[in-house]
Amino acid sequence: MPNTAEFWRGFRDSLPIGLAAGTFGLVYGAVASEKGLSFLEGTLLTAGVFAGASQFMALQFWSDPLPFATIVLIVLAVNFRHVLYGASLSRKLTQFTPFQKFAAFFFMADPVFALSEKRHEDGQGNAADPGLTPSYWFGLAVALYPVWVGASMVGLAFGNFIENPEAFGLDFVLPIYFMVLLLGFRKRANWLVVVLVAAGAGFAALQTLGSPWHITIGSLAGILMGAFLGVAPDADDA
Amino acid sequence: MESIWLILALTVVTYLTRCSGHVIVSRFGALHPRVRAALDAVPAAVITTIVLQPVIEGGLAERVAFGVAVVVGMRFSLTVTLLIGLGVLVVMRQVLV
Repeated sequence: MPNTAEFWRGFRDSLPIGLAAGTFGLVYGAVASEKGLSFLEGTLLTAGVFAGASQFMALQFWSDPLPFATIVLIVLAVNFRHVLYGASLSRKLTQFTPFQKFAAFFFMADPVFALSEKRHEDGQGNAADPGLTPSYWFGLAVALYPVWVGASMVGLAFGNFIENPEAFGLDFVLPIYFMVLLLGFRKRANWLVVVLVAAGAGFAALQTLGSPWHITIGSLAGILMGAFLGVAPDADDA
Repeated sequence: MESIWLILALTVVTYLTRCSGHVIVSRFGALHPRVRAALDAVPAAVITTIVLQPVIEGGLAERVAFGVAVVVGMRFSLTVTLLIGLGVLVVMRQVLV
């Protein structure tokens, strides 16, 4: 049954992130319209995928004719981290019905995962604390999803009015955005080695085979290096 | 029309990544440590290769702006980094023209 207090707690916890995400929703919409997506296409993409990094990645490769398989594979690769999130959260969703679980997973963006993990942790060892409830989770989602989709739509509607995107550096938003995401993972085991191996292999592939092979080959080299160096520090039993 | 199919495919693929971790764990128990380590390396490896091309193929303005953004990004938020990085880029492009 719904827990109103927990719903609002979730809403409050993710509202600041929602507002920050809103500015990137605007940028997403502007870049999408610059890439030639229609208002409908841009809106469907943002409402269906709800994962900023992978949406930007899809835009990077959006061209005519559409590289269908390339974009699907890249979005799959970028969103693969969700598999780890789900594995980690799996045993913490004891208060969710099966239907609630599969509805909740649709909204499992990075901040939803992070805040849910924290909410579970904060509820440990206190019988009076409800812990991670569906109400909390959907409170998080309600503060994030409509802001993200709404801001994207505003960006799509008004992005067309920016006549010379290069003058504002809009063509370089994506590389910097991805670089910051990349920095965000720097505390992970073997991060620098993985980055250097992926960059080295990617560079070699770019010089010899050309784009987009550097993505496949560079990524694969980095991932194999990660597996080879082995065991990631494991916070829980996932 | 093809674009709508692509968007649908991306929606399905993304949703599958979001629920498969739970499905795998509840079916098969924990993931093998090597598989976890490989999965752990996925985002860094993929994003590195994506950033590579625009930086290598960019001119001086792009490279300087990127370098500044890396330094700023170590300490400051995404928004600040993006504003400073783009600011440097816009100024450099004006100066270098």
